[in-house]
Amino acid sequence: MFPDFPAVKARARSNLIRKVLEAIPHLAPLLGEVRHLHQHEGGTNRLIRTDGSSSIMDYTVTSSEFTLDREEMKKFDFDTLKAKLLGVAENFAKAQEEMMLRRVSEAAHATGNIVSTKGEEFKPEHFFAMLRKILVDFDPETEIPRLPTLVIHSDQGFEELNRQWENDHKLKAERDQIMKEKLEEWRVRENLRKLVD
Amino acid sequence: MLERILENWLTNVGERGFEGPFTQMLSTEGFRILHGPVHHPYEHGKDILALSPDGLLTAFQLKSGDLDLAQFEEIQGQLLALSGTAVTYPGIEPPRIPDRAILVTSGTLTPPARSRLEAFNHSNRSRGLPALECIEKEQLVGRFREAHYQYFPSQPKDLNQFLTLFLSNGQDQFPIEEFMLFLDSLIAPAREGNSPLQVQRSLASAVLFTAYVSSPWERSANHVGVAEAWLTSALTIVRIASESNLPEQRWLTSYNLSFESGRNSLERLLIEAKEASDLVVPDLVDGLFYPTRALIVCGYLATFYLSESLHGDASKWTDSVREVLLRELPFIEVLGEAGVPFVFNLAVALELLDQPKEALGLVVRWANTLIHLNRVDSPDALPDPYHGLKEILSRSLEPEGWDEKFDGYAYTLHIAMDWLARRQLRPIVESMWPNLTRLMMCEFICSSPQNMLVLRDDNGQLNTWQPATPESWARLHEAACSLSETDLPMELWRQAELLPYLGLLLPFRFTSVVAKALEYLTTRRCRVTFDDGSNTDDYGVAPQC
Repeated sequence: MFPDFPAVKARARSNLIRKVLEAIPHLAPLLGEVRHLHQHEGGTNRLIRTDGSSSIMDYTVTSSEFTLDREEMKKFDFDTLKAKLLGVAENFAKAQEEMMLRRVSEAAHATGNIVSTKGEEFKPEHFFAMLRKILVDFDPETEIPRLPTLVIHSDQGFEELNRQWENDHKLKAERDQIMKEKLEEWRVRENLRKLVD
Repeated sequence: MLERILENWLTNVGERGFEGPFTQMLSTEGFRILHGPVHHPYEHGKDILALSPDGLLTAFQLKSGDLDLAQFEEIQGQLLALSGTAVTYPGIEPPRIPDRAILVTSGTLTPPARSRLEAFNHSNRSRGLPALECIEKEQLVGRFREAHYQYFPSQPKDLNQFLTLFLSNGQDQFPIEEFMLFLDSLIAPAREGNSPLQVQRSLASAVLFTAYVSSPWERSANHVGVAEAWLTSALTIVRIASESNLPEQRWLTSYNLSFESGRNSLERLLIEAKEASDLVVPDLVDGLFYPTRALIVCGYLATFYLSESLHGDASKWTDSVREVLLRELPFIEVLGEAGVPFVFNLAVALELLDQPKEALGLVVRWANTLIHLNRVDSPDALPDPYHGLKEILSRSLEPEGWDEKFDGYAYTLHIAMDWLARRQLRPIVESMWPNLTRLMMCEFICSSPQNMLVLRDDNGQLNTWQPATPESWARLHEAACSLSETDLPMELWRQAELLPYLGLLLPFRFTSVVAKALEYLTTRRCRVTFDDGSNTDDYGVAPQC
């Protein structure tokens, strides 16, 4: 074998992989908003909810590959390598995002926390029904809502709808009313962060 | 190669370094150890006392290095006491002088010293005392080789691991995890054979290999490192005994020798720390490391105190431990959750040392630090307990930082809440609860109690939960004060003196169960429910909550 530099190479490899991992939230912004927990041992995670119910989270293996031929290995071309690795990062991001949406969808169906348009076009009342079902947090200082991310299929033309609503006083008033209720709900929830008995 | 390693080890190790392995070797050879190794004014020259396989009462005096005439003359009084004073020991009735008296040296006797020994023996014989026998380095090497050669690492990987440990500089942290893996590979062939006798012998060899491996730390007088080596050995022995269902007579001697050696090192640490005015290791950048050193040293001394109180009587250490802890407490810093077991033991020890205010201050600081630093989106969150203090220090100096994020989670915050709840400190918990509930709590649950002593448990499960909103104080208090006997491996209950060290050696195993068991054993603030449904209340041990 020819002389090599395994320890230094391992460090360089690790730095490159770090860059790939850092790229994932940019490629899939939705993932960037999700908190991550690195599990060091054991194959499962049990999430225990405040009501005592729990679910087991199994981990799914995600893989992606790319090819680097011997000619490409002779020179360190960061841009080529980065482009290839970003391709890998994209695959990871896509797989993670799909899995996350699948899990969220499963959980929503299991608890009945869904709003169905029943084949109709997406309308403001559907959006308001959704808004009523979700938890909204607020900034404790300013009480500005921290709205959750909305994932919408591009066919649904939500941006156009949103523009129309902004100009519709009735709809705007209804939305503001819901947010008022949400603020109240949040205050009640915050008030429960205490000891009783 | 084993002979050369043995020679090298015996040449470099002090008396304390080879007395444990020597005792272990006697046991392997069929001696019944009555006491030893001991060092006090009442030993009467007898470091070790044993009954030989043919029933002769045998006393040993151990010395390190070569003995010339001047050194021989210096210890002549001890040698006279060795052969000429009666052995007073339960079961040796009436007290009598030993049948055999043996001087053991890890070096050789010079010709003048040998000549003096002959004259000494001539005089002994005329007075009816046993002749003083002598075991020197060459014989020791042969006997150690005979007792342990079959366990010497034969695979290149194991040999490399062994030599890496054996050739360390001894000033750094002791590599606990690497050593555990090495001991596992040493014992594995015997376990595969399913013969309790083979496992017993491999555990005896583990003691000798611990002596080899810890010798660089012994030479550097790095007492924490030496203690960590021996306590890791003791922990491994308990685990193997538990997993293999070994009867006590097959592992207890090896365990006791390892544990005693760990205790002795911490006793020396206490003396060193008390005599010094601080814990500085002079260097331009020592200030970066002092707070962590203070945490480690004080954590070990506090744990030593707790362990001694479980082992028998800790009162003779009370003043010294209190003095060092109070002196260093202001300098302590915790860089990651791996430091929490040190903090917890410090807090419990401070209470036992009548310093409840300092104990409470420490726990409140630990809880508030985690609540603040590990809040969601915090860039300064403390790493989880799987990252050791050395790694955290090293990462803090690297521009790349961490690959992981730790914000929003905590592995030990609920243990701090339990500590406060057990002491009925509701107003403090109440003040922390709103912000604490914004974090997710984590705790790894091993697949079996025995696996609490392993490095990785692939079948275990990570539990994550958000604290209840609202939470019932009564429920919180009750949960903080109760645990089940079956939550811990039975061997750990029996060897309770080892329990306080578990979190220091394996910080990711410091769970609420371990903390509660420690509280039950030291402060009686917990109730234990036994396998048959009864609990400690039924036996008149009411929790002091």
